[in-house]
Amino acid sequence: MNMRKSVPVAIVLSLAALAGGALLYRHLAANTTSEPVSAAAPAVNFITLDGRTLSLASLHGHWVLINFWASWCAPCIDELPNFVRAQDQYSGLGLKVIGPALDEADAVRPMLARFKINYPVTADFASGDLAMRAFGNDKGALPFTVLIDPDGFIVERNLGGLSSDELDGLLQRHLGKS
Amino acid sequence: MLLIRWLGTAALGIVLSASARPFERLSSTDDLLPAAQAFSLLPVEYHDHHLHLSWNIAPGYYLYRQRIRVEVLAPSRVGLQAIRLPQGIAHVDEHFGSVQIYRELLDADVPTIGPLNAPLRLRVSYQGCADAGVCYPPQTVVQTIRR
Repeated sequence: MNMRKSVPVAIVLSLAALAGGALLYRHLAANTTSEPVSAAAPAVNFITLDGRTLSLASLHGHWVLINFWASWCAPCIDELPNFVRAQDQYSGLGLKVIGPALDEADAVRPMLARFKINYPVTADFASGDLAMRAFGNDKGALPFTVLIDPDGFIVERNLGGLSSDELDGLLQRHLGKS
Repeated sequence: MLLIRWLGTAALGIVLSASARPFERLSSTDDLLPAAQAFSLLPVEYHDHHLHLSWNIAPGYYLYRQRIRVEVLAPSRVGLQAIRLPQGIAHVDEHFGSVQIYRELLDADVPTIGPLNAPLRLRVSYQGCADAGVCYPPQTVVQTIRR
C-alpha cells in the first residue's frame, strides 16, 4: 500500500477508534454514577447584588451549583430553601451555590431576607438569560440548575424544580455524603 | 473512496455527539414548547374603538391574569382604558396568594380613547407557566395596527 492510500485509511481507523472509545466511555458513564459524560462550562461572569464580579473561572477547584431563578416563578421560590440548606450542608465538600435571578434587584432583595439566602445572588435579566442559554437552556424557562465539577465541567443540568430529596440525591451522587 | 468518506464522517459525528452532550436528567420538561408557541398572541384587531386581543394557550400551559399588560407606544394622543379580561380560573399559590389563570383560549378587550387615524403601536406583555413545573419570563410583543 502506498502512502497516498494509507493516509486516509489511517485517519479513518483513528476516527473509528476514537468513536469506539467515546461510545464505550458514554456507555460506562451512563451505567455508573461516578463520572458521567460532561462538557466544559462556558466562561461566564456574574455581578452580585452587592456589586462584586464573580467569575466562574475563579471557582475552579470547587463544585459549583448554579440555580437560575426569579421572583415571578413560583417553582423557583419553592426550591430556594433547598439550595440554602445545600450550601450549609455541602460547603465542607467544596460546594459553592450561585443564584442568578432573571429579575430586578428590587424584587430579589426581599427574598434574600425571607429565605435567609446564604450564597451570592445576582439580579439582571439580560445577563442571566444569556448565561442560562450558554449552559444549554434553549427554552428560557425557569428554574434551571447546573452542577459544575471542580475541573470546570458540567455534570448535571436540570430544567424544573428540584425537591429536597432530588437535590440531595444529585449532590450525593457527585460530591458524596455531607 | 466514497465508503471511506462516509465512514470518516460517521465516526466524526459519533465522536462529536459523544463528547459534546452533557449528562441530562430526563423529565417531563423535555418536550417543553418555546414561550411563543406556548402562549401564542394573535394579531391584535381594532373595531369600534376597541382593541381585541386573543391568545391560544397550548394544553398544559397557563397565563397569569395579573401579568397581562397592554400599552400604547405611539401615537401618544391615543389612550387606553383598563383591559377587560374574562373571569379566570381561581388558583391559590403558596407564594402569590389567590390569583386567576387562563388556559386554552383567552380573549380580551381594551377600549381606546381618542381618534385612531394613524398606525397604532402597542406593547403587550404577559407571563405564564407550564404544568410541568417551569415558568417562562415575561413575554413582550410589539404590534402595529394599521387601519
